Amino acid sequence: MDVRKDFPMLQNNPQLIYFDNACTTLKPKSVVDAERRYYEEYCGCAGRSNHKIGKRTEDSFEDARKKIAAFVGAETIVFTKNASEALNLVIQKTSFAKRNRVVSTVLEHHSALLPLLVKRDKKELELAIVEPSKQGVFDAESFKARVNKQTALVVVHAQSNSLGTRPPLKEIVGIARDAGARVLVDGAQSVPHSSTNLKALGADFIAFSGHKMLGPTGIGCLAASRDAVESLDYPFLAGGETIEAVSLEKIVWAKPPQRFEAGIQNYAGAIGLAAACDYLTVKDIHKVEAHDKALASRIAQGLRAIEGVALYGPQTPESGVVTFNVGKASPHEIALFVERGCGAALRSGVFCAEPGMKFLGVPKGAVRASLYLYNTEDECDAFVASVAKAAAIMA
Amino acid sequence: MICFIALIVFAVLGIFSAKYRAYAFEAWDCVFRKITLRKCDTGLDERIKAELMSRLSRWPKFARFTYRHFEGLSMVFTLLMLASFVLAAQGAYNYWAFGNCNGPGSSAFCVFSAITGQQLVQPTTLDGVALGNVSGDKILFEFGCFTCPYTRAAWPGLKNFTATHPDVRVVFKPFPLPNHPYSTEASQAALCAEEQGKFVRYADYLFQNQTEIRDGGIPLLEVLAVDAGLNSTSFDACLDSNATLAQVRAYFDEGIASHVYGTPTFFFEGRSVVGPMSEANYADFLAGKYVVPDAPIDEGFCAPPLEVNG
Repeated sequence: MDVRKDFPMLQNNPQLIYFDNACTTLKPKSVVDAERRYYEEYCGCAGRSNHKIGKRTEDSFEDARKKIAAFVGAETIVFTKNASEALNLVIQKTSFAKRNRVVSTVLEHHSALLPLLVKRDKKELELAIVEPSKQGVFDAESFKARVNKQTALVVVHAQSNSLGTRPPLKEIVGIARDAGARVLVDGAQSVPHSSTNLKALGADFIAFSGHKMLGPTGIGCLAASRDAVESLDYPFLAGGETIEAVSLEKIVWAKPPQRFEAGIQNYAGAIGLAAACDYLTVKDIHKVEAHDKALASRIAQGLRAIEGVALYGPQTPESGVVTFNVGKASPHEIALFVERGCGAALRSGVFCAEPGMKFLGVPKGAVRASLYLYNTEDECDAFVASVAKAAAIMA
Repeated sequence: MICFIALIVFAVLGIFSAKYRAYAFEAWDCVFRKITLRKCDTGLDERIKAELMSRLSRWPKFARFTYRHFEGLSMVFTLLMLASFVLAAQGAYNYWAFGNCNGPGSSAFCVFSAITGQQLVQPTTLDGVALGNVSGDKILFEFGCFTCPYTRAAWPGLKNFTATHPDVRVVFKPFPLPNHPYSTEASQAALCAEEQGKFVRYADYLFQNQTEIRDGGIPLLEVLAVDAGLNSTSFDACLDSNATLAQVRAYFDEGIASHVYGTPTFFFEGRSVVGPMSEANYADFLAGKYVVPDAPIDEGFCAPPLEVNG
């Protein structure tokens, strides 16, 4: 994909091979410009001030909400600061009074797993964990065995941040629906790389971050159906525009999404994220997905030919993520060596998914190359050559 | 283990660059964790290792060997570093205590001496009291102090050696240590005895009564002169003479110019030894075969106060 000229980071760092897109992505100029315009041309408050600047801010902010909601096929969007906050919002504010069972997986990101574990330890819910195969592949039947009439919520990732694998989401949602449970999807890794339609999927919530999909940092979203977001309890962060009316005797909460957006919002972030959605729409998210997968397959094929390299996940990458180790070397050493060799920025460690990495038998973690639309075949080849050098020394 | 080395290296580099100062703090954190039996989780060791491997990767076999034995090699380098610190500290102590970083009696190269220009330098003049065969072609220089027990210890051996080696000429230069009572007067008295051709005999008396001279002072020097058969009138006049005093000071200054830091100090053909030698040692020293023994400090030499140590 001929997009590299759109990214100032790549123009300013021509030697950079940026393979850490599962952590955060580079920003196209259109996103930077959108944010800059807000700060330079109409920097006001939305929903409060009636002056022209305030009105323009509100219009841009709400337009951004609509645009992002359309990008993921959701009825509404609650702005958060990142996917972690969106996941926490649902887990913290779902009522477990009538149904107290939550089903989730061992491969979840800490942002989903930790609030569940805390609530489990406080006896506020019963947690059932689904395990994948040793390749990280989930079977829908495993969910069926754990979801029952006591299940209030199923929390599942759409794409693993550690392996790039994708659980059978449609089937899992169907199983949850049959049991009357709500479904919270961690879409932090999937929304940036594949077409998402929450309504078509049938899930209740999907959480994602702006910065992983070419957008700014500090902005995340909880995309949801109206019914689902209405079901959440009063906000854990109250203030500003979260109420319709308040007296010392009574609070009347505002309708979602405002109920969950206390205080001045990250307007620039939301507007920048909408610009990122525009950019991905123009570039065609389906083509982005195919591009990512093709590059990941190229890397996986190259790495498999190197003696001493261990790849994790299925034989054919399900997304633009390749996770590996070299011999018994520390993942950090491998990543640093490769960076010095070919300039590739990689992620190493347990990827904020420690229980998952332990389950996969790599408690010290691994190295992850995660790709995006601006990566090229030449970069992949240089990367593989550098890993081969690392293997010659470290394997 | 590499963090120990990194701490020292980055601490030194940190004197000149803030970037390395941050690394030094990181290394210190790592070292502190190690010595408190905790895991070093700063990642500094991994970064250093990766950087090193990256630089060595053009020699894959060597890089592989280094990688595989990294902890062992780090341990070796750390121990070497610690050993060098201990030796450097010992050298610094020696330099402080004896004016030479190699310890008492050594004339071997001392880095501190090189820095301060205090390497022992053989005197260039033959001025001094000639002992042995005055026309001997092997010239041995000695800077000595009559109130120094180490100069006294060297005296009998030197006398016997010169008696049995007619090819050796000793040039004795008094080097009265300012921190010894009556050392200058004793040197003056010895030069006065030399005027009467009885230096060796009077020196015997001086060394035999070394302890008493500290209390007895000039009267005792005069008594010893009588005992040695010197002419009292000439001796007393000589002892009172400014010229004799000036001569002693000239020898002392010559010793300072030679960076003498203790007595006795011997020179022969550019080589030097600080401290007493036995009779047999002189032959070895002249032959360039003398090895300075590891003597305790109290068997070393008499040092002047640091402020006069050239």
